[in-house]
Amino acid sequence: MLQPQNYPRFIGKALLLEPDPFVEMVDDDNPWIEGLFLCACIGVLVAVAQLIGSLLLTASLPSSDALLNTVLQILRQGTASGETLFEIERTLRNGWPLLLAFSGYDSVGFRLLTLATTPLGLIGHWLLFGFVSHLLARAAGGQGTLTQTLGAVALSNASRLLYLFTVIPFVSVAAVLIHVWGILIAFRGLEVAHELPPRPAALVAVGTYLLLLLISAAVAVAFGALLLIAGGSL
Amino acid sequence: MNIRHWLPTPQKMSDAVQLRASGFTETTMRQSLGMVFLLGLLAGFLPFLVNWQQAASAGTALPLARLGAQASLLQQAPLDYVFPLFSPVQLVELFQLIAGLPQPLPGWLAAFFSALGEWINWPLRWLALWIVYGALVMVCNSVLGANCRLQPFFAATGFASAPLLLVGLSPIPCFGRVCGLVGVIWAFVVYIRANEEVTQLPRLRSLAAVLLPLLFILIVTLSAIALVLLSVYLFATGF
Repeated sequence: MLQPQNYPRFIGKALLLEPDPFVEMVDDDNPWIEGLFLCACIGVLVAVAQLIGSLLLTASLPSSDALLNTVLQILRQGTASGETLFEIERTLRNGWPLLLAFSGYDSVGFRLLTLATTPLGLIGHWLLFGFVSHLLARAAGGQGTLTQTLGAVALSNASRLLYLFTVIPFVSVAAVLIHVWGILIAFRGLEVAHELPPRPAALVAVGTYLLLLLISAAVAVAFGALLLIAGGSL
Repeated sequence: MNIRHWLPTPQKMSDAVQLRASGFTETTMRQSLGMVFLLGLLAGFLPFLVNWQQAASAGTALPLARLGAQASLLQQAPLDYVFPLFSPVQLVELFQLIAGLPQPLPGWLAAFFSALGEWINWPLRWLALWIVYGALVMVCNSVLGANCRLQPFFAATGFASAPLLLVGLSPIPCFGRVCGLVGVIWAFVVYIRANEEVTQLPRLRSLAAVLLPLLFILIVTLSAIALVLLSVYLFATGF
């Protein structure tokens, strides 16, 4: 049965690497449903915080068009000319929307879209991490079931709640903190769900993360190659 | 919520910064987490006030106020600046123009939000340092033969944030920088002592476990810089 009222306690204890929330998750009658709902809740909260932060950031800074035009205006008066100037302008104009979307500055439309994509992305990441870590944990001699692994590993998203601070503009949360803390929580979860000794559990948690990182890098390279082959006309 | 569950006693903090063994025991990770966050907030308070004042007097957000200040510095020493795309005069003009662009919010409010964001970044950076560096040190501890759990390790190493409070004095000219340097060195010593106490490793091994991640980070950073420089070179020469 879903127990959202327990999530704040689960999340707090998971961040402190205590075993209790993992035990409760593993013993739940439907651990993967709890995990799914927990990931969705975290995703929605983070997306809402980032949307509000983006609105405040945009209101605190000049309009992005004015900023870009000022840079281009001064650039045209600069030492660069001809083909070089054209290339720089083109790169700036192409990269500007990406920069805005990444920083949350003047990109409220994109942030509205993330209200849906953030929870979905988080659920996708959780499922992938859960499946891969389950396979590796079983290979390392673990005893847990897939649903128990998914339930325990869902708590590794607890560190993402630090993104709630981005509701305040100009706050930046280091991605490395989120990922490393997430791996530490996943390590504790796998230790409990699969009754693994600390060293194999740590290897499974880090190995899963590195494997997913490798897959992401391969996908990014493939996408980049596709763009190059298409001659930038995608 | 009882504050004693979230913070170690002042006596514990005092013992830890004096490198007494008793300072690193009987503290929970929750207390250390609370301590790191609270001390990060305290350390960032003076810089917050200075940042707010600086941005409010420029009537804009902090990053733009800093650009404006940079422009003034460039005007004072334009010959020291070499930039291939802009002349120094144009760079000054660009910085001043950007700093002077109007924003929807009143200047004082934009200044407040930006300074507040910078303030909140203090405890978040300290948390990142504590967790990420701690994870790397734990790997080294494990390789070097220590048999210690994560929670007591993080509980003990959190005390390194106490001397780091001195870094918060950095806005004070000259004296602040000296204090900051002293704070960083002191924090490092406390960290080494905490690691030694919690892992029960011999002093040399404990020291190696704390220093090896630094070497790792240095190698990764230099490799990343080399990769970026290589990419820029390849891009500039058109492959």
